Amino acid sequence: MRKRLAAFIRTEPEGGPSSAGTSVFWILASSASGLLIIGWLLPWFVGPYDAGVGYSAQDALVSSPTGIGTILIYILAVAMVILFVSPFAEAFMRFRGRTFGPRADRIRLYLGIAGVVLTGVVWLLYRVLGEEPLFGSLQPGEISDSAIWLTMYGFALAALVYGARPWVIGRQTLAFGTAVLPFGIFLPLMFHQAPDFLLWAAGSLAIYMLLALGLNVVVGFAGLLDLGYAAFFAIGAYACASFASPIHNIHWPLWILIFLGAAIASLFGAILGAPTLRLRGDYLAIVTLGFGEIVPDLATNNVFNLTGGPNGISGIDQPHWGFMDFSESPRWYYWSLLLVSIAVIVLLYNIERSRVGRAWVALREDEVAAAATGINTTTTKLLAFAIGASVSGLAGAFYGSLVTVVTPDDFSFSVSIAVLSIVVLGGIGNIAGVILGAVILTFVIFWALPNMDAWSTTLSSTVHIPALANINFSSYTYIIYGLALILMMLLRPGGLLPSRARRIELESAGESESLAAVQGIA
Amino acid sequence: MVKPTKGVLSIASIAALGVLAACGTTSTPTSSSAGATGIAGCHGTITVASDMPLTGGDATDGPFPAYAAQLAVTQANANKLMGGCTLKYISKDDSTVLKNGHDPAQGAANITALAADPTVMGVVGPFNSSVALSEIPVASRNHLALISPANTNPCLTAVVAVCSDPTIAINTASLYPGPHTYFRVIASDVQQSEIDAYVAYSVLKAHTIYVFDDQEAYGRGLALLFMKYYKADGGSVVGSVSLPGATTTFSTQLSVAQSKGAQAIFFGGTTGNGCGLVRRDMGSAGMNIPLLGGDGCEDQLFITNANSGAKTSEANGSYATSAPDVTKLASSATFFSQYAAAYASLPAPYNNGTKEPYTAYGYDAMNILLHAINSVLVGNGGQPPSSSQTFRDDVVAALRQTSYDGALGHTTFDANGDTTNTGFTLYKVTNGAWVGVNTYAVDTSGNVSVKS
Amino acid sequence: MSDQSGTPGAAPGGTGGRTGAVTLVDQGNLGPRTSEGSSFFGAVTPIFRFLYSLISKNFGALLLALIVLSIFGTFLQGGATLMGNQIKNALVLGAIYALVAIGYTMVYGIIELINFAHGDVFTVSGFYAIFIANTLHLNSLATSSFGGLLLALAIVFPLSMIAAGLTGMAIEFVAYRRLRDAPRLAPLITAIGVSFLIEGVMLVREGPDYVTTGQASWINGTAFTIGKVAVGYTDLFVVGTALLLMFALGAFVQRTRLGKAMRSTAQDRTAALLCGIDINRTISATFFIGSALAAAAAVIYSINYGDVKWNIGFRLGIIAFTAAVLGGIGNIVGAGVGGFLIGLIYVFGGSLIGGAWSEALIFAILVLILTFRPVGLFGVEVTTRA
Repeated sequence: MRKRLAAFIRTEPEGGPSSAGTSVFWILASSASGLLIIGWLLPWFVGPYDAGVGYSAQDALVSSPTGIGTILIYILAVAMVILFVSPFAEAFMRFRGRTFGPRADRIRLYLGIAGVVLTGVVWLLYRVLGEEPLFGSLQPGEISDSAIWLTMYGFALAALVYGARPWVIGRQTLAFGTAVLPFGIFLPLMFHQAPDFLLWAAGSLAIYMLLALGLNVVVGFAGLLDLGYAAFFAIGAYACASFASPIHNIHWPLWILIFLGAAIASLFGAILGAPTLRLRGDYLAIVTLGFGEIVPDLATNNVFNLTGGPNGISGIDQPHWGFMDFSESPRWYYWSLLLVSIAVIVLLYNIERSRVGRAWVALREDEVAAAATGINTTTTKLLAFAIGASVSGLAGAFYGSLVTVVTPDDFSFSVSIAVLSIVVLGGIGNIAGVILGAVILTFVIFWALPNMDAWSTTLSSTVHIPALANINFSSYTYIIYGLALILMMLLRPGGLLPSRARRIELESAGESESLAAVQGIA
Repeated sequence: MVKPTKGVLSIASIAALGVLAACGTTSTPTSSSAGATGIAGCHGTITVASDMPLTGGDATDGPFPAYAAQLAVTQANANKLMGGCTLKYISKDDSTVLKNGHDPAQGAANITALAADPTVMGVVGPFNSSVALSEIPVASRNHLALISPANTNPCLTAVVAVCSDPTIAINTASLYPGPHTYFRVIASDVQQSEIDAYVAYSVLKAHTIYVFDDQEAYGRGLALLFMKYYKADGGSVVGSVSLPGATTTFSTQLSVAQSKGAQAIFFGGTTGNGCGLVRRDMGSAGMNIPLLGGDGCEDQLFITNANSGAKTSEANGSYATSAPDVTKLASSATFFSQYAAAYASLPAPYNNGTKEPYTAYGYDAMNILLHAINSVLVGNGGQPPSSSQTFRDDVVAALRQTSYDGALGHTTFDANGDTTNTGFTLYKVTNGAWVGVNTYAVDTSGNVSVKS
Repeated sequence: MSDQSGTPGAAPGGTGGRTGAVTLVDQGNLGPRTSEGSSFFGAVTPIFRFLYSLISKNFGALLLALIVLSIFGTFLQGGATLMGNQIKNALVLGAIYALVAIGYTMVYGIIELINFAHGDVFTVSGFYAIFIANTLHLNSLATSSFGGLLLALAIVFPLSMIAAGLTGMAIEFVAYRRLRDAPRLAPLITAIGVSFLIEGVMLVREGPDYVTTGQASWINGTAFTIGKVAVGYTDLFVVGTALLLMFALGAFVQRTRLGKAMRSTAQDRTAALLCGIDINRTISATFFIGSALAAAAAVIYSINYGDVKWNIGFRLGIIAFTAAVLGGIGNIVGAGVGGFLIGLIYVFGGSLIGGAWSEALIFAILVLILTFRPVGLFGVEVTTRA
């Protein structure tokens, strides 16, 4: 059953395999459904302060059962239901060997467009009729901007998926990017009641994602296991902090610091990578682990009077460009990080497909053969370290600016392991996988685990099991990390979204005990 | 072509049911009943919050002041301190699993979220000085009052000489991009280290000393300040070492100390980072000199660790300074019994407020905040000021005028936001427990005198 | 490539000829193979190349010279008393490192995996020892009389060693066995995962603080005094037990069938398989013995220091691993000697340049070893097979 499901997700609705390994079509279609249902029933998910479209729109618009509001709502409800059920219906039909025709697609396209427009009308009517300010705050229990946005987005996504189906199936990555990007850009405007905290969380996610992308270059592309990645993060953060704080009285703007951080970190990446050039995998890991321990040690001991000791560097500047006051709200950080992340992803994507990227593949697979074909292993390895480190230097610049203080504790071994777990969990060598891993793990670490304590306390008082309240979930973190790493390696070593090379390996299975494998040269 | 139509009616009926349910909700009344005067006629919501590390390595520290603050709010609600206005309390956790304890980034995020809520008028917290470094600027920018029950790093409020030491490197001015809205109800390490130096030199009569610190912000700061005042008193520091908190054995450095003829050992740091272990290793090395520590060493764990070595009574004879024993104050007795009554259902040790030194500090901090808010309301005719920013500014101004008697005794704030209720007690381990010896106070010119 | 110094059989770790130590593992042990690829250092200039081979061939001698210098420096720092005290401290610490390092080296020699979880097996054995001592009331037994002490030791050592050995075997069976032939990354990451898992369990069960073992009072008193340096019975116990166990292990590996099987599996697994050796059983036995030694180290640690904490194994493990690498990974005698050497470096480095830098110093040594002499002091250069 599991295999059937897995096989199903890998094939397109018309049959035929998905070029990206997992069908983006199904992902987007089910996301559209999910967004629609969340937008309609929002309060069941987050509580009474974010009312859903279906839950309370009626309450606001209706003065009598035959009012215009009711009609609008019913039309919207019909459209919502049809689009929500569509992917399931389509899957069901496919199992039966039948498909919907192009007319069904056109109908759904029109429904989606109508949904977007009508939701906008509902929102306008609510605000105007209810004499509320267009973008103002609300009383609890009333329709919120979040619900409107989510519903609109769901409709638009559905329109895209069904209306432009061949394009979605043909240009998978582009379609995915186009679908997700507006969500990311408009996120700060979408959520009303707790925007800053959410944006901060998104900012942290972006920083960890950048770190994971950088580590992916070293571990995934070039196959060099780096256990001390936090060292580069530290170097980038401290370097940028030194140039934007009162500690040395230099105050350079953030956009310069981004490049500076990347440059300094990549320099140190090459420096720290140099001793490891002749080492094989395990020793490489240990030496990088050593560096990962030494760098925070040096920072704590205030080497060369640069790093400010255990207090670190505090009072880091936050940019203020005209109307964009970064200190006022995290949304500017959010947008800058979004921009930078996209740039980095595009860059790394292209690097992977360049000569250097192919050299890394060769290096990873068989170093001896790579050298024999004329690849300069020294330069290639150093380049991997340098590029990987530069991304983390970039992240360090933002981190320092966001939190305004960098301390040596921020770069401990736990951070290296968290980033490594993200890469391992998501998919070693696969950019999309790493992004997914970052989303999952930051969600677990920063949201699920801390809230589980609160939930278990509430649950324990609801079901009267006092023992539940005493479980301190946060202390189980290490166990969760450990289990995640072990289970991933035992069950799915390629990660959740394996890279293309790994997928091909796994499909052409048959892991025979080759001599090379026994000797560990591979 | 099949159009899936199943379920439309059922979904619509659910929507209709939802509508019926929603019809029952009403929005909060925003207009008060006419005629009520004074604070009883107050309308609106006022929120106060606490920001403590509740999980991870700080799980045995942070929750106590948080529970105490919550108790203060519960009592205020019972006494209708805010009259007709609703008083709410939010508890924020600034620990993350990644750091296994307090995390400055999380703290900043918490204060940002709290500041964005226009009904929040003050926050009690943070617990750790490193978190304060990231929280104070945010609070200052948003004019939000921040009262700490436990931060002792002196550079957070005022510039002292040690702040420019490269291993401390805190630029106090950069912490306040806006007005000065940070207060603390606990004395800073400047006073503590002055008293420590006095104790070491004049009470323990040790004219040479070897200093450890645990390479963390609190410990290193305390050690540096101690060495400065000790030298000013005339003592000589034969050596000092900064060891990471994970160090498990100190015999190497103790041998060095022994060879240099140190007459006492000073440890700046917390028990979790080895205070008790130093004492244990002193016993193994046969060193018969006193150990002096700061308030980070004055707890039960120190005694356990010190006695875990070859000499099982090694802890006896150790000294540490700490905040005055609040349990001895008459004013605190009521608080502790109220705490015990309110939290009897919590698992140990949280059901006993005396298990942690900062509990009463959290209680007084919150009460001071609540009284400041109350005085603003009274001064404004029983109503909160119209704009949230004005309200916050008024609260901060009221805090500066604080003159409060509570569990800690009498508290007022000086111009920098530091409490004037200073004084540290010297404790000695006698028969396996910390017993207060003397309480010392230090005045602004550095003269230490015995308070009681 | 001229930077590959020597063929198999060249003089190991130039200490100016054989040190006279018994080589308990045959020649051709599997140390890290230097890659055929271009060397960063070798490629630069002939001068660098010359310097490099100079340092590389005489690494052991240089290291010893450095240690002697630092001992002398300590003498200048604080007189003979300080020097004597630090030597005592170093030997005690080194003995513990040595025992743990042997476990690392055995496992690496046989399956070429750095067992990150080994340090945590050490920690968990410490907790086993506490449990055993408390359940069987060994603390009162040990402090009652000398006979009682012997009996208590005779109980706690084997029991904790067996418990730890079983733990090690379980880890191997669950986590490593399936990945034996997987690409290098997988077992390494799994090892890290196991390490975190064990640490997490200990953190939840035992709490974040030090736990008193209650065993520190078992052995008390000063044995003898040299000048002003007091050597306690505990110190003698630690060093003596470690040496005893190391020699016992050496004899085991050399003389018994299982030992021979371990050596041959380490040398060439396929050939051992062809000779009829049960690889799985041999590897399991290796893990058992390595973990048992770690447990012995943990019991010694508990008796010497009196406290254990959930995360002491991590740091100690890395340092012990450095010791194993220093001595020559795969080489048991090397691990033992390496342990003591690292102890000396740690203590004297800490004494001279300040305790804050001890760990950084150890890591620096690790980097230097792996740069200049990756095979370690007792290892032999092995050319990569074509």
